Amino acid sequence: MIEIIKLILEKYGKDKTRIIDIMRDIQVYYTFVPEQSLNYLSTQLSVSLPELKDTLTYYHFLHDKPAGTYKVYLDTSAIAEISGLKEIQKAFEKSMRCKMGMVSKDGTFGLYKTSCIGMSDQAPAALINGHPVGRLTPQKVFKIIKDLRRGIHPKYKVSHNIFVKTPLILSDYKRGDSVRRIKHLTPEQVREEVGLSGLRGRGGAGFATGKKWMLCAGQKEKIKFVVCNADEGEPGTFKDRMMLSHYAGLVLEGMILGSYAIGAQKGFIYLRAEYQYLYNHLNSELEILRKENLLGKDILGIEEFDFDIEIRLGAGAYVVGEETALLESLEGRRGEPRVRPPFPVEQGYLGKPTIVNNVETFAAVARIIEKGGEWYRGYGTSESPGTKLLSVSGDCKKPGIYEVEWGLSIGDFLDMVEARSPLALQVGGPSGVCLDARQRHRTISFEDLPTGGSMMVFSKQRNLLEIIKNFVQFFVNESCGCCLPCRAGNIVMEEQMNYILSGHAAMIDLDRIKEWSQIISPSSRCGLGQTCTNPLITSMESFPELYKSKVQEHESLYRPFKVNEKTKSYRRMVRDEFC
Amino acid sequence: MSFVDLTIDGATISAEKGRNLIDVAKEHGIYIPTLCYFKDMGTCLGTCRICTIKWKRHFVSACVLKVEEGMILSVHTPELANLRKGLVELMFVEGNHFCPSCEKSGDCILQALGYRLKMFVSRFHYRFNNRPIQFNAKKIIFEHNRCVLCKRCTHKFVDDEGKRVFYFKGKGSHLQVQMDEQRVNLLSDEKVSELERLCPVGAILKKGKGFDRPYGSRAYDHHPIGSELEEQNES
Repeated sequence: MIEIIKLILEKYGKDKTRIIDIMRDIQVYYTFVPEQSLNYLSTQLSVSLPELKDTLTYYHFLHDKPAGTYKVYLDTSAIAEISGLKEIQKAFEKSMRCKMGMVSKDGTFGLYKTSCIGMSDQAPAALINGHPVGRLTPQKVFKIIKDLRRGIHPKYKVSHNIFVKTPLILSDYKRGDSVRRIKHLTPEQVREEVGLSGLRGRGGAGFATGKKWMLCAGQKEKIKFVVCNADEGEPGTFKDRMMLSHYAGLVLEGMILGSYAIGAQKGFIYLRAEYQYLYNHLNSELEILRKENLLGKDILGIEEFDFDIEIRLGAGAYVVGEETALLESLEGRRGEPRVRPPFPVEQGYLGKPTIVNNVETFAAVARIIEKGGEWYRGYGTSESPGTKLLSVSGDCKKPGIYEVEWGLSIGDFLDMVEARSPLALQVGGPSGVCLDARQRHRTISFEDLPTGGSMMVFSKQRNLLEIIKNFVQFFVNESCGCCLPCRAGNIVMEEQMNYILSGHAAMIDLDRIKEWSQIISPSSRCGLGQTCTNPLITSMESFPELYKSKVQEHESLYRPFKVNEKTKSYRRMVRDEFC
Repeated sequence: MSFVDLTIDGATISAEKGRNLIDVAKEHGIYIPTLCYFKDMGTCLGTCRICTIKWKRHFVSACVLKVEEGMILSVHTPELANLRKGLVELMFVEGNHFCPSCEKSGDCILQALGYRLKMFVSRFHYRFNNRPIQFNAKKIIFEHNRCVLCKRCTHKFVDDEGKRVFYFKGKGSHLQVQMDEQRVNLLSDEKVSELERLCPVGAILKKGKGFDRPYGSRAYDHHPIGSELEEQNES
């Protein structure tokens, strides 16, 4: 064992920040990270054992127990749930001969749940040893597992359904068109151009990109970093999957521009573990850029402009999409959000000034430098210039990726995706807004309904409360547990949701949800906690009748007492058939 | 060294620029309730969120703030009092806190905050989580029922070699503090006492000690937490 780990350590140059990569590689050999290997790592990397275990137990793609040669991660997002997740799960359990969350007896298969894997347009989907399979049916599952037992892998192919309305980002791309323009521009001019375009961060928060770069460039520290956040964990979004497979060059060019603008020497792409199948493709793109002298030393002959990009893989955690948590993860620790201030532009990766931007933001920057800030500003609305990539999924005829101008109305949106008798629209994923589909005049923009890209359509046939419950559970599962309100508060919310669904809730419970969310969301540490009550609160605002029809007038006395749950072990003993 | 003026609940105070807000407030007789924070801790943990205050209509935790010119802050408002009380209640329902049998009773910050914020019963349902008690280490007992996951032991405690001995296992609601038993066994007696004092609640206990102080001589027996500051302020 030591021999193999020695090789792995050599590959990563005994770099402490690469602990996650090292653990991933160990896992390839042993299906999990054994205790002995940790002891060895601890002495070799001079990191204490507790710190290693901190990291290991945090990510759900890392295992500390034997985890199966073939690890299957089943997508449990709301979209998967409405597309027949239950049958798929049963099919997997039956064919693998193991239950969810367990490993089959012969150690061949491990079946795990995971949040959205960025395949909502092809739900239900699963990851098999990091490779995606979409549009699953029970028959397909049986065939895949049967083949895997004989060592035959299914065909892993991801299709992207792209619909372009306003082609700003998704137009023809010629490598180098954008970066070559910096020959005639100073770093300051690049920053000004980005500032002029009015571009706002595409991750969801919408911080002005130009301002962020300005702040970072103003730092005295010489060593700086550029980080591309390719950890789109919001259920229902998959735009980065398409961007990194079809427009990777554009994104990388945006990063090169970023490094030029702030004076950084090194860049990272933090690629989410769910997209590890894009790793080789991205690496080959980087090689091409290096060959064309768009990366490396003295880029384009500009003296002392040295920049290179490295791809780092994540290991599965929604919270890491938050920029400071991402930096923690990049340094090889638990992906927990940092306390702010200081902000990443002051002290980011390894304490040095860092800009963290979304995949889409970098792509937009490349276009802005290519065609000008004024040109970009000509699209969209005053507060939200330009276009937005939307990931559309759910009950519509044309799920896929759309590029639209900001300011699109909900009515036009629903017509565009050909929604089937829509009831509700979830704008911006679970942390966004649950909207009544009849509010057709509302607009997709930072002024009205901001979104990081996820758009889920739910038709009138769906049980909206079950969907909201899925969202609430998502937050319970994905909370990092670092701060109290999000860790404990989400469970309180889940409990309330269960009361409503079981018909035991009273009118007073609805008021409680509103009141308690005023405690949980403002006091939370990061964006996840601050938005975790959104699905409940916004759906209550949009569909008050739905909730009212489910609750009783008065609180019943015996509510917390669940007779079935309390007598479960007894009934199992007497082999009660309803158990 | 430059001084700045800031306003806390209408009172203007002057302080050295860039200092920690909680320390500054304390020196001026204003108590901001805290749990995971302690003086001179370096980078603060920001895990308990009890010190949440309001600045420019935004909720922020006071422990991360450095004083700046012209800050206008609200600390003691009914809204914030309710929020803090709610957070303390969440801590009580998350673990299994039975004060009368706890060795730390009277010295426990969580209990003291409960009294101070006038919490009688929790508005949330108690979860009665089944948590184990770890007693295998030679010198300490780890009572997970009382642990509030504040990160003080995991991030602010190091052994004589300067290495961490506690770590977090899992995430979210499955989060638990675990220890490197071999290292814990090597700790000196002074270090163990330091560890016990560091824990804000009664989760980490020195083996063979138990109840060693009579009622009346414990830290919060006579006055609610923070009241000594306020009395000083009035006089």
